[in-house]
Amino acid sequence: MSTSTDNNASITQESGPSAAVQDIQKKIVVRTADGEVFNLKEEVAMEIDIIKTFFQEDSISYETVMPLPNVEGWEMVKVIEYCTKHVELKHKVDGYKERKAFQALFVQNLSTKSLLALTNTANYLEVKYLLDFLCQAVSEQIKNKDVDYVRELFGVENDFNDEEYEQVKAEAPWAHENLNNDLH
Amino acid sequence: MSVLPDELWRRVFEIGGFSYKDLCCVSITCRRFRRLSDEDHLWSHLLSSDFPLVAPHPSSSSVTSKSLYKLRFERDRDKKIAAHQRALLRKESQIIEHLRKLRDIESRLAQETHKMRATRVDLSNFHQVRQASLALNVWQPEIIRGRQKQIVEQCVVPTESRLHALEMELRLCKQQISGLEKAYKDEKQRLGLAEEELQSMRYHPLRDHRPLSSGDAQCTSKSKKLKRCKGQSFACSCFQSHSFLLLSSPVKLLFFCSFGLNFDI
Repeated sequence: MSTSTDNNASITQESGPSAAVQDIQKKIVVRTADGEVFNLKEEVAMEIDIIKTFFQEDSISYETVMPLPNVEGWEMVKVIEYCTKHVELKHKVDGYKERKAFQALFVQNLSTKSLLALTNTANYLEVKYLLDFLCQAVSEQIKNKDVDYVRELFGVENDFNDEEYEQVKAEAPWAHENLNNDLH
Repeated sequence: MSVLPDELWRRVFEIGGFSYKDLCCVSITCRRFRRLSDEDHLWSHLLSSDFPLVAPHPSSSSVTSKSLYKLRFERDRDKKIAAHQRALLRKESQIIEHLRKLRDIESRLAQETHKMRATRVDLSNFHQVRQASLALNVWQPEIIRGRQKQIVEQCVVPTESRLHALEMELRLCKQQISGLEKAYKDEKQRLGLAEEELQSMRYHPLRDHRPLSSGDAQCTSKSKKLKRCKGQSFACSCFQSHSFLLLSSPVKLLFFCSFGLNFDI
């Protein structure tokens, strides 16, 4: 039922001197809706407010596996990826370019549906900077596009009746655009 | 879309840094988005960023930010259209002025050319007289001598000084013509510039909403024509600097410049 998935954030080695260093980092374990289990480094886990609150408020021991019933496995992977990078860049002085490159790659292969799902998750998990970034990413998809494109993008139906539709168009300042016609 | 709750959509719209176009586009998609994108705080933000200098509307409490934005937008757009029309008219009258000046220079050139021709004729007559009077100092057959005496006696004016004056006049005429031709060329250039400006004003008015394909295609074909003309008028100016003295009719030169024809020396 539960499968252990060690992701890139946390692989413990039992041998060698590095093991000692890594062992000092405490691990927090969470289980997602589809039964996947993730071992998070403490510093990464603390980026996720909902986790932070869960463990710190009532001083719950790290032995407890926190359930995340609203989060899918793949979403958790993405969130961990982003938070890990964020923690890494926190210690760098000039990480702007790197952050930008990372962000571009992060959303590159995400479908709109996935992007929206991930945004919801980021909201649920309460990771503010990730949420802001994802909202920005969604808005980038909408900007400078036409009405039909946006409808298709979000799978939205035009639910106006004719009267309402005319009304909406009349309210839009650019509805009567095509200035070029006026000038000739 | 049903995945995200309203509050998250609101956040998307806020963070997005949407322009009025984006918000309007979104409001047309469906009822829910219309409700969410019509919200006052979004539009008042746009109001303050797009129309910061406009004085606040007196009864702003009863008016939604979106309708206020629309009002200001339309007012601003109408102003811009009017200003553009005025600019077009100014440019057109500038062009008319250039054309008028060109006509003026042309007529003065014609006058000077006429004068030059007359002076040349006079000059050649006096050359004849001088030749004749010199020849009289030498022995010649009686018939010729007779004719020459006739020529000399017919001329009542002192030859040498008149000759000198005529040569001065001719030089002056030529100078005038050269000056006028340069003025013509300059004016033509100014005209060309003004016409180009007018064209670009007409094809790229206030906002470039025109789809890239049609507008640019027209522009590139026109700019190709202009390039061709420029190439030929360069050849024209080289020709000019060497040898207009040889030209018996400067008027031909004018045609040459304006139609960009090739001319074999």
